Amino acid sequence: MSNATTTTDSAVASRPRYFRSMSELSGDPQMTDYLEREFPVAASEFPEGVSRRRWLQLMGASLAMAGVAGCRYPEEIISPFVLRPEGYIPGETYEAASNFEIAGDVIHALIECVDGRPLRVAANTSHPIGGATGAYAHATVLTLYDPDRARGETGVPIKREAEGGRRLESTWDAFDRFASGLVRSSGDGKDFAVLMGPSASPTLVRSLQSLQEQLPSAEVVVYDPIDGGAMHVVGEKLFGKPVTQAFDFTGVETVVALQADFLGTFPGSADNGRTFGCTRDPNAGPMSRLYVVEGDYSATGAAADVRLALRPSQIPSVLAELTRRVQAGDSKPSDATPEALLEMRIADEERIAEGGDAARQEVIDRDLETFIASAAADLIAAGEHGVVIVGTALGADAVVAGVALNQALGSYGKIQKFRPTAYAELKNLQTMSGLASRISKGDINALVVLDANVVHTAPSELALVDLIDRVEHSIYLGMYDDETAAKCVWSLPLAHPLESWSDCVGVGGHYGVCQPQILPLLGGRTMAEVIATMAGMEVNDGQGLVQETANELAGGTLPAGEWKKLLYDGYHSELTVEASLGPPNLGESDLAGEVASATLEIDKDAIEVLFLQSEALYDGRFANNGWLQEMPQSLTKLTWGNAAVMSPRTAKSFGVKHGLMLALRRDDGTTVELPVYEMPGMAPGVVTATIGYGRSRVGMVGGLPEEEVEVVGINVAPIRHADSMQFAIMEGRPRFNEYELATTQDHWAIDELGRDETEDRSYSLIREGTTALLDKLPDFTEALGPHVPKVGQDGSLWEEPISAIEEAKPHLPQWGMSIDLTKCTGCNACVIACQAENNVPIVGKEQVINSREMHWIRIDRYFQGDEDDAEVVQLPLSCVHCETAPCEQVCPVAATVHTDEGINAMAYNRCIGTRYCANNCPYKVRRFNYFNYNKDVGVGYGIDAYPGSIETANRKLQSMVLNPEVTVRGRGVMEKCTYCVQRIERAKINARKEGGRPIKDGDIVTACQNACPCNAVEFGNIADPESRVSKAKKDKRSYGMLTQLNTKPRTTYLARIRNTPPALMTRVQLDRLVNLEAPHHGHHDGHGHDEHGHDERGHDEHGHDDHHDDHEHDEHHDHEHGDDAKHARLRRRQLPIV
Amino acid sequence: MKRFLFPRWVNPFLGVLGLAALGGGVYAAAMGGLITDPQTLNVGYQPTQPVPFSHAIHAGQLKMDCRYCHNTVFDAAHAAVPPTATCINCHSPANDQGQTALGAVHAESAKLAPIHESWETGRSVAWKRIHNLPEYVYFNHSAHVHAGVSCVSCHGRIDQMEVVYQAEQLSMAWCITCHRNPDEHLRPQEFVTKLDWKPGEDWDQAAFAKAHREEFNINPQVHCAVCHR
Repeated sequence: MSNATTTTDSAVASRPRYFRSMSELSGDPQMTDYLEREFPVAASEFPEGVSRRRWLQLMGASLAMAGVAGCRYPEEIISPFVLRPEGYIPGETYEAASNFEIAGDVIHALIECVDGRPLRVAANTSHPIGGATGAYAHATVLTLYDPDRARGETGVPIKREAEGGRRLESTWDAFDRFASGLVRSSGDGKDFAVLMGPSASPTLVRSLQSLQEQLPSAEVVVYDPIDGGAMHVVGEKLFGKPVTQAFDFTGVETVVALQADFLGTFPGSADNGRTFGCTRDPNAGPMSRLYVVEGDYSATGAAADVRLALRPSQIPSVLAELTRRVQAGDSKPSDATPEALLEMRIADEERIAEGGDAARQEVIDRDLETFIASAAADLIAAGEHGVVIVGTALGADAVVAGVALNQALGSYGKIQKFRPTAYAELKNLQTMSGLASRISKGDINALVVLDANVVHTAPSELALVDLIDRVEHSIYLGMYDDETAAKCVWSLPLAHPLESWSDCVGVGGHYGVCQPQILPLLGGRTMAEVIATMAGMEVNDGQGLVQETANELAGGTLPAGEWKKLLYDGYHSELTVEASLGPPNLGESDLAGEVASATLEIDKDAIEVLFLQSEALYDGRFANNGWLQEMPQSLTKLTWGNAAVMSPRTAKSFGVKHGLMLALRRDDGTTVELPVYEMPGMAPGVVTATIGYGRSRVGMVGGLPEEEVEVVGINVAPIRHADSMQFAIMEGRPRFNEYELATTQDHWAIDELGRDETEDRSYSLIREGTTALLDKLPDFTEALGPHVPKVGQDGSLWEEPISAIEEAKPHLPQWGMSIDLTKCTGCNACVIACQAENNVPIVGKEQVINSREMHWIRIDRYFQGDEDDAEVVQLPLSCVHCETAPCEQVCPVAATVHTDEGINAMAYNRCIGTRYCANNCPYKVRRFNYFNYNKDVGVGYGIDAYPGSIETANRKLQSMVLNPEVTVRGRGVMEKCTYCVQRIERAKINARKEGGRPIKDGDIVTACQNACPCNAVEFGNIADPESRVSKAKKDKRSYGMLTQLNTKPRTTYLARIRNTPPALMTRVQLDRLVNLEAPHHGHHDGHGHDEHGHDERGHDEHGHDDHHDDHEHDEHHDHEHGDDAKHARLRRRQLPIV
Repeated sequence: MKRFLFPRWVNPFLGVLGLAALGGGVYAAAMGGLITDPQTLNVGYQPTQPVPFSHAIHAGQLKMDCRYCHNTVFDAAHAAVPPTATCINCHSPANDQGQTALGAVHAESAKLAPIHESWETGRSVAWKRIHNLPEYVYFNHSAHVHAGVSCVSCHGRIDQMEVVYQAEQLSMAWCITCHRNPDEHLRPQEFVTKLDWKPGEDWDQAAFAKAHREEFNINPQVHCAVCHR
C-alpha cells in the first residue's frame, strides 16, 4: 500500500465485470433496449394467429380453475360424506411417507395431500439418509393430473388391429387374456424380451424373475437413456455385475470432479448436494475444496472453487497425471505470496493484451500445470478425505481409473460407494444393441417395453422405429401414449408413482414402499402388476406384491404392526438391502500418458460434442410437464427448448452468434441443426447438446403435431450413436438462419440504465470472496458494498413505520429470510416447489420471450471474468419484503401493504393492475398476470377454449393440482413471493391449538426452504435473537441487496465464499485479497473526521460521504463531466466507501 | 344554416331532467348504501334445505352439543357438516326385513327420506350452504374457538332456529370490529359451544378478557395477510 496510486489504478482496471449474458457483455442493442424499458413488452399484446391457438392449448394444459359467478350468492352445495373415514378431517393438509423412483433417482418423500389429492412432494427429513428432493420430484404432481396421460377418454389399454392398423380402445381383461396366452405359447421364451429402464424396485425384479421361471430363456434389456449403459459397463468391469454409484461427502476435504456433474445431473445429485453442502460452511471448520475439470459449464462447475475448462478428450490425461502424482506422493503447490501472484496476473493481462492468443495460450498452459499440481497436493494431503469423481462421458475406463485412485487415497467405500442394482439378480441381461440385432434377425417374437420411450431415446443407428414393426407382439406400458406406444401393438397406461403400490431401495440401502395417495386417475397399472399378471403369479395386485416382497426381505412374515410402521415412517431400520460387492477388480489402467493439451485452436472438423440430459426433461419423459418445460435451466436460463451451447470463441470460429444455427454432422452424414447459445467459460471447441427435446408425440404441452401442437426443441438423437451416447467428436458447420430462444436471462434485469451502471453495481448485488479473504478481512462483505445511509432507528430523525410497529407490538414475530450463496447450487428445486405451493401458472414460450414468465423465484446467475474464463455466481431472488417497500408507496389502491409482522402482503382483490408497484420495485420481483393464465379454460370467465364436455372435464382434472390454501390469481393482478404466508398462518393456528403458545423456531418452513437440498435457506423470526435466521443474519458475511436505497430488505444473503488456493485465484480474487480495506464506520459512530484515511483517496471518499444527501446530484454531474469524471466515480465505487 | 333552437315548450322538461338526476342520486345511494349493504344482502339468508332439520330441537331442546355433529370445529378450518352416518346414529331406517332398530327415532318419517336415501345409495345429501365467505377469505374455525370465541358470536342463537339463517353480516368491516377489540366476545373455552351461556352476576368481562388474552396470547391482527393469502 506504499504506492497508493498504483494499486488504485490496478483496482480500477481489474474491476470485476459481472455480466448476465453475452449480449450484455458486448453491448447488444437489444439488451440496452431491455434495460431501458420499464416493462419488457407492451401490456396489451395478445398472441395472434396460429400462436394464439398454441397459447390457448398451453393454457388449457397448464392449469384450469372452476369459478362460480353469481349475483348475491352463488348457491353452493355442501356434499358431506355418507360415511366419513375415521380420523379424516375435511379440508386439512395431511402428510404420508412414500418412496419412489423418478428419473433414475430414489426419492424418500413426504406427500402432502388435501382431501385425498396429493399436492406437494416434500423431503422426508426423518429418513436415515435425510431425503432430498429435486425439481423433478416437485413437478411430478403436475404429471399426476395431466389429462394427456390417458389412453382413450378414460384410460384404457389401446390395441392396434392386425388388419388396417386402426388403434381401438380395449380393456385390461382383454389384455390379460392375450398376455397369459402369449406367455403360455412362448415355450421357453427364447423369442421373448423385456425392455425397461434401470429400476431399483425389488418387487418389479421379483415379478420379472417369476416371468423368467415361466420363460427361462427370455431376455431382459435394461437401458439407461442417459449414459447408454456406461455405468453398467463400469459395474461389469469392477464387480462383474451392474452397480449404482453413490456418494457421502460428510467430512470430505478435497473433491476433484472430472466431467462429473455430481451436484447437477448425476443420479442422487440432491443427496449429494445435501452432504456436500454441509462441508461448505466457512464458519464450521475448514471448508471442503472442489476442483472441477469440464468441457461444458455445469452446476458443479458453477459451484467449484477452482474450475478448469478443458476439452473432454483431454480430461483422461489429467486423471492419469493426477494418479501418477498421487502415487508418487509428491506434488508441490506454489507458495508464492498473494502480492507476487497479483503481480503475475497483472503481467498476464498485459501480455495477453499485447500478444493475443499466443500469450493467452502460454498463460493457460501454465495454469493447467498449476491446477494439476495443486489438486494433486490437496488430494495427497486429504488422503481418505479426498475423492476423485469421474463422469461416464469420459468412458468406463476413466471411471475405473478414478475408482483406482480413490482406492489408493482410501476414500473408496467411504465417500464413493457402489451397490449392486436391484436388477442385477435377473438372468439373461442383454444390451440394447444385442436386442436390436436379434430383432433384425427375426429372433424376437414378443417384446414388452416398460416405460422406456426407446423410439425417442435409443441410439439412432439401431433404427428401433423400424425394428419394433418386425416384432409380432409388441406391448408398451408407459405413462404417455408416446412415440414408442404408437409403434407397439398394445399401449397400456402406466400408473403414476403417486397412485401406485411399489417399492425401491435407496442409496443408503433402505427398503422403502411407495404407497398410493389416490386411486389411478386414468386407469393405470404398475409395471410389477402387469408383469405378475403375465407370469401368472398368484398374488398380482400391487399391494399384495409389495407386501410379499417386504415379507421376503424380513425373512418370513412381517407382522402387521411392523408393516404399518414401514409405511408410516417410509423406512424400517431393520429392512435394509445389504450391499456386499467384494473388492473391485481394478485391472491395469490403460489411460493415455500424454500430457493434457489445453489448446485454444478450434478444428471445425473435430468439434467435441457432449450430449447432456436435460435439466428440465431428463431424457424427454417430462416433456408434457409445463412446470419443467418453463423452468429456466440453471446456467443457460433457457426455457422451452434446447440449444448448441458453446463458448463465444467457438461461435466466433464458426462465424455464428447467439440465435443463429450450427449444424453438427457425423461421419455417416447424419446432421442435426441446433440454435447457437453462447456461454462464456466453456472449453474451446466443445459444444453441448441436451437430449430429450424435439419429441413428436407427447401431448398438449410437449408437442403433438397430429393435433397441431408444435414440437418443443430439437431432437439430437440422430447424431447420438450407441458407442457415443454422451460424447462424440464430429464436424460443425454454421447455418445462418435465425432461431428464437426463450431465455429468461435478461428479463427482470435490475434496471440501472446502461451496461456500465449495471456492471458497476452488480458486484455489490452479489458479493463473493475467498476463504483467504475471509480470514484476512472478516467483514469483507460490508467492504464490498456501497455506502448505506443510516436512517430510522440508527439515529436519524426519520422514523420508519415498521419501527413504530416493532416498538408498539413487541410480542409479534418479525419474519425474515437468509440465503447462503455458498451453499446454493442453482438446482431449481425451490423454483418448482414454489410453483407447486403457490399456484404459479406457466405462460408458454411466446410469453416467456415477451418476458412474462411468472416464477416467484428467479435464480440470477452472473458471470465474472471474460469470454474464455468466466466464473458463475448464482443468486436466488424473490420478493425481499423491504421494510420500507417502494412498491407500497406507489400503489394507488393500497393493494400491497405491510403486515405488522413485516411481510409485504398482496391483497389480490384490491389490485387494479396499474403495475406501478412493479415499476418501482428495484429488485424486479413482481409478476403481472397479463392473461387469465389459470382461468381461460374455466367456467365463468374468459374464453371457453374447450367446449366439448369431455375435454372440459379432462382439463378440469388439471385444476386438482391447485393448492386450496392459496388464492388463484386472475388477469390484471400483480403477484409475488408472500413468504408462504399460508404456511405462516397454519403454524400460527397450530400454535393457537396448542394453547396459544408462541411460535417456535422451525415451526414455519417455507416451500423453498423445504425444497433446498443444500439447506441454503433459513426462515424465521428475526425479532428472536436465538432463531437460526437471526444467527445467520449476524454472520459477518450477511448483506442485503440494494440497501443503499434504504429499502431494508428482510431477505438477506450470506456472501459466496470460494475455497480457492491463492495460486489459482483470479485477478479479481487476488486483488481483493491484497487491496481490499476494512470498511470504515466513521460518519455516524462519533469519531471525528480526522479518523478517516489520509491519502488522496480517503479525502475523495470523505467528500463523497459528506455530501451523501446529494448523492443523485453527484452522479448526475459525473455523467456530464464525461470520461474523467466517470473514471473518478468508478474509482470511488471500487474502493471501500467510508 | 339556421341555428337549431329548442322550442319553448321543452322548458318544463328541464325540471324532469333535474328530477331524474335527483332520482338517480337517490337510486345510487340506495343501491350502494342500502341494497348492496351486507346487512341487506346477507343477513337473514335462509334457503330451504333438503331435510327440514331443526337446530331448535336438536341443539335447543335436546341440548346436543354442537360438536356432536360439527366435530372438526376444534381441529380444522371447516366445522364440517356431518356425514349421513351421524344422522343414522339415531334415525336409522328399517332394514331389509322392514324391521327398525329399537332405539331408532322417527325411522319412518317422510321428512327423513333424503337421509335414508343417501344412506342406501351412498350419495351425499345436498345441503345448501348458508354461511359462505368469498373464496379469497381464509377463515379458520379452530383458531377462533381455541381462542374462546363462541359459535354464537358469528352464527347467532342457532339453538333457537327452526331453519338456520345467517344472523350476522360476515362482512370484512364486521370481522375487523371484533379483530380490533375482541374482548366482549371472549369466554372460557369450555363454554364456547354453549350458546346460552350467561356469565354469573359478579362476572367482570373486562378483567376476564384481559387475563384470558394474556394467558392464551390472543392478539388478533387486522392486516390483510391474516385472512387473504
